[in-house]
Amino acid sequence: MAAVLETLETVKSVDVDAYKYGFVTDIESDRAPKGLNEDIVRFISAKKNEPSWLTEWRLDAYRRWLTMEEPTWARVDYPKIDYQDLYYYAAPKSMSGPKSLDEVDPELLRTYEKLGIPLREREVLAGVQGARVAVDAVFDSVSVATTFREELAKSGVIFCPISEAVHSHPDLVKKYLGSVVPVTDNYFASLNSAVFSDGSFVYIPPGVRCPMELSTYFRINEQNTGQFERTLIIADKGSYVSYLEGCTAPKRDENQLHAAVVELIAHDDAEIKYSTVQNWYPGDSEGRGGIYNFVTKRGDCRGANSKISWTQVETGSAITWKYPSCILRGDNSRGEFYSIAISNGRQQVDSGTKMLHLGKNTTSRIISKGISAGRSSNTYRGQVFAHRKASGARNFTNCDSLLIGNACGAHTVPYVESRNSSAQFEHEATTSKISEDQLFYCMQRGLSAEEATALIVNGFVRDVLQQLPMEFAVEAQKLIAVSLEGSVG
Amino acid sequence: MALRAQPVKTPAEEAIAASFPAFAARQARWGGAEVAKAREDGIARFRANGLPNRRIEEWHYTDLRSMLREAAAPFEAFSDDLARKAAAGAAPIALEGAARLLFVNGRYVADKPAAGLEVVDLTTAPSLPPVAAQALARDTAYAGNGAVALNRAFTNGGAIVHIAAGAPHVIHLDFREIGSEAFSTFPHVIVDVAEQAQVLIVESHRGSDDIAYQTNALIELKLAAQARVSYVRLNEAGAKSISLATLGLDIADHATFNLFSLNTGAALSRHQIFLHSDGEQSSIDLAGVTLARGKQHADTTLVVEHKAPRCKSREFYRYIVDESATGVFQGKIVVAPDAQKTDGAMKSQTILLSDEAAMNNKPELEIFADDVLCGHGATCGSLDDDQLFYAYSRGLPPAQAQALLLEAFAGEALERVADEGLREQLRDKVCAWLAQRVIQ
Repeated sequence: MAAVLETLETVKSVDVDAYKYGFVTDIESDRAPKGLNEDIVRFISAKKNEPSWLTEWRLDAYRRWLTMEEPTWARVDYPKIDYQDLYYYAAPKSMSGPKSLDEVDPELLRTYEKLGIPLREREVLAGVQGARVAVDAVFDSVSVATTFREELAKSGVIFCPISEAVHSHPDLVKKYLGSVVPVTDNYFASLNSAVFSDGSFVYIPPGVRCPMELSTYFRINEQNTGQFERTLIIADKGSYVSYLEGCTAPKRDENQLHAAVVELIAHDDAEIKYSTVQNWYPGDSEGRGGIYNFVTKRGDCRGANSKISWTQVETGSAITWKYPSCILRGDNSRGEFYSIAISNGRQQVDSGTKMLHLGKNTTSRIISKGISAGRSSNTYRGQVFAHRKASGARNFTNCDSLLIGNACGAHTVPYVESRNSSAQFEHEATTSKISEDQLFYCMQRGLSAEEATALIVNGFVRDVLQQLPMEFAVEAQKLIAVSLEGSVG
Repeated sequence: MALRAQPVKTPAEEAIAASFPAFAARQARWGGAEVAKAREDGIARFRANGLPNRRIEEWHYTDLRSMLREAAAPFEAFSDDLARKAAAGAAPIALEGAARLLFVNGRYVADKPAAGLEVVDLTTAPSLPPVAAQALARDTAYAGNGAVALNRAFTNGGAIVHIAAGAPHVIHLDFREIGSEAFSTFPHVIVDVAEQAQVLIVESHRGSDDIAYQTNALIELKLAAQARVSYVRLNEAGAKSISLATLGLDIADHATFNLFSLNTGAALSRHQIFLHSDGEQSSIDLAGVTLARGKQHADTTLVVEHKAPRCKSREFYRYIVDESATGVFQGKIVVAPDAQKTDGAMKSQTILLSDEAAMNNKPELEIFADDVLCGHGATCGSLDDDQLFYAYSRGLPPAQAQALLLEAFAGEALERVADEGLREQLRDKVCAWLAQRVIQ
């Protein structure tokens, strides 16, 4: 019951429309000129001091992007984005390359403290018992700090901003960058390939179990700026890593663009667990402002017996367009997708996954829980595919939607495609509302309508919450209660 | 890949567009202003969109642009001789005391008229009686569908049927295609069922196995309040044919509609159902069995739209896909904001019998009301090894054991046919199909 009480207290303490992380950090920043053209792409590349192959790679992506059309198949509706009216690069002025933490602008450190992300290792050690998390903090277009790097290096784990990895581990970056999400994969991935700024790079050597949770914390601060981060995680043979991602942005009246690409590669017997708590600014109750979140996330189970697991809690963003997928190439590989997507106000979510079974005896599991409230729209869109050679493939999919209020929508669009007779696919989906009986039962025990709803919702999403690392699970539970606020009664 | 591509017209598309003006001019002597307007609307849509293709979401799995290589000319050479020859063919199903409406190559041929049944032949009158004209002018949500637009542009026959409350119990819409060279047909049939009428409608399609004919039928059914309709559809179209069919349904309050569809025919078949439930407390049950082998492509696409509160719908489809055939099931339940207390459940299940066979399943929910209970389930797999082992251990040879399990699998959907005589005939057809199976 403790967690439930905590949830309820959080609900009480915050007002409707209260987005906790909506403050703006006043920091002078260095920006590229507005707009997008080949010069801007070159400018970003030069800022990062990149080798010429990467500059060419970006330019190639940019030229291909020009020939593409923005996808319209998702159930999201937004005014046309003017790609020339955005800044594609913004960095705090004081940052002129990776530094030690002592040199980082104290204003930045305060920002992260406010967000509850301690960047000083000493504080981490003093503050939290047992659970230590290494953090890469990305502020607009640059990484401001990465903690615990030395300790990780002792086990051979590479954890650094991708802009740094380009210089320190060029062969790894060159080998894997774009190998899961090709440059021309989709409109937003191409855009990202052209202008990506920073993100994390992780390499886990063979046989190593990463000694701590790795995490990246993304923050958009600057006005009219897009964030285009790129994350690349490679788990070599027999290794294991758990990675967390969090994101927030200030409250602003205009919409901001976030188009990220995440690539995961799991070799033989390796396992990657990727968890996201997405809490970008969702816009106000009238639908003003908020982040447009167009993200391409894909994992490649390249080796036999490899495993990739995606867990996401999606509560923020005005628009979410996101399909973390698994390519199950290696025999006996496994893909998992656990998702909670909550929409309230005027949010629009179109999210789901793809499980592409290519190898033999590959298995996958999809658990998706969608909750819509207010005037929002929440769509699950997922594909399960078995190739002719994928004998013995198995999939289980369960997507449930919960509707709160009668002005919202919940949709389910699964694609189940089998090309192999021994593949076994099961799919089930339900949509319902919180039943009167359940509410009545709780209220009869003395809970108010709002408390009862919070309790039932927590039960509804429990399957997914259990998949989150412990310290994130508590955070996520609070987030769910806050997101649904004002939707009951 | 979202690469920009200019739609290039295929030869078939160009041939269809080019044949329209002359065809419309030749047919202008019947149907009056309503048919002429429908033709213009249909061809305008076709000119804008071309043949349905995979870039259009609802045609993603059935890409007519690449599957329809040659467009056969619409059939126009009707004669009494042809009608007599077609009528003499064997009946696809035995129906006692049924009123039969025969359609030969798309054209309505009065066959066994009955009291309580008013039939207007679309092609006889230079202008239509007001009731028929109104029925033709109805606005439908599916008018933009590629197959429907083509049917309306090239309608080459059809009828408007009114079923009164005391009408005969069984009505057979018997579609037959005969000829010696390829042609296409575009029948348009509108059936209005009066208040409290109770009727069993059987729609059957049968045609020559020797010619690659193409049919594109549009049947629109309007159920008034408290009407009860059982509907059985039988697709036994010719082995080389392309069979497109659309069933538009408009269902009023307290009406009951049960459909069962057995799909075995045609090289390429697509049955589209667009159901619109407008009144409270209607009850809808759609079920079907699709059996596909060889290189057959069998598609069932349905959209059930609940617009009014307290309605119930069930969809239950089973597929058996063998050899290198492809099955497609797309089902969508839409619940409008006012349709509270909707109870909808959809299930589609497939058995793949070969590694060359493919199944594409897309069950969708689109829900805008909060007090509903909707769900869908989809499964795809092969025959259960334990069940097979049990049958083997009782001494059944493999072919027989498999046939037994497959018959039971299809049988669960067949159970939904209320009329026993009809159900047994359908079961025999399933067994006959299974008996033809070649087991390696």
